[in-house]
Amino acid sequence: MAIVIGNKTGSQLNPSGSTQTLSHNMSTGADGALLICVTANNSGGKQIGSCSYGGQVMSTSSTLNANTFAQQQKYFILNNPPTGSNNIVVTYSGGSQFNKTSIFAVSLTGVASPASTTNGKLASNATPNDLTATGIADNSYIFTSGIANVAPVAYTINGVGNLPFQFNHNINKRVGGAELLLTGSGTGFLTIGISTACSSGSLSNHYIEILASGSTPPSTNTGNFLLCM
Amino acid sequence: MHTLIDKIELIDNVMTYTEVAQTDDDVLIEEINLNYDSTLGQWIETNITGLEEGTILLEEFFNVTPLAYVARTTISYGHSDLPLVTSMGEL
Repeated sequence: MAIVIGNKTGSQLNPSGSTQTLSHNMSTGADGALLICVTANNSGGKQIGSCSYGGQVMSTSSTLNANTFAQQQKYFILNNPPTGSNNIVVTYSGGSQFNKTSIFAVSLTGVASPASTTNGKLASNATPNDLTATGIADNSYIFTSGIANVAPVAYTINGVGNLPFQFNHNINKRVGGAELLLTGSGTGFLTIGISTACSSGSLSNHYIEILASGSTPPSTNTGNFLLCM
Repeated sequence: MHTLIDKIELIDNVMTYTEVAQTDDDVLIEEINLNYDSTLGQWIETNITGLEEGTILLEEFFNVTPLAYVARTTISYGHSDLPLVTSMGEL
């Protein structure tokens, strides 16, 4: 089954110390999944705690501590979330959070359960910040987010450049994201790149793969082996 | 793409956002956010250390200014329960 991209919500608001609530309308369709990317200031030990949707606790799929930018970013996933309009509730721990945060939510259908097995990150690198992702399955949905002092200006996934920004938030640091739906048979690996307009600027790169329903990741075993017959 | 307009109030000592309308009007979005940045946004930025330490309370702002608006949530779908507005007078 192919993944279908549905409703999206993005916000850049100030939380009230320990929680933040906003609504999102989860699209209908078989094998639904909700992906949420939360980015927040992590100075003084502040952390992004939990995230729930419609009262259901979401799984933390990947955490990036981009300490160069005093930011933490987490991807949360929920398989088969309730459809329609429900609240996203993000909690913060390790200190009160009043700094503006970035939240991006995307509804997907046709997703495997569990939805994700692969993610990667490089917290800080001179532009461009390119990552090679391995073990990528055919027909997956790839999402990546960059954090920088200045806005990331270009996202490239699997050779497809100038991908449109899914969000572009200013939370004292600039946070953005891009997506690509892979089609057909791939090679199992791809390059995910983010660059800024400022040649001396550093930035983070944090990606996640969402598997299509019925797909399996290719083997990442590239070593030699002996076949006995 | 639509932008949601949130009303911000202090309810039970929690800064609470209530989605009250949606708009596609860039002029209105800028007006709301400039007003937010020059009032509540600036107050939070100025007092963020005190807020984090608990020596400054949100009620110090909201006792003087009971509510604020902000328009910094975008949605790719039309919100069926919210009116589509083009001016502050409609809020």
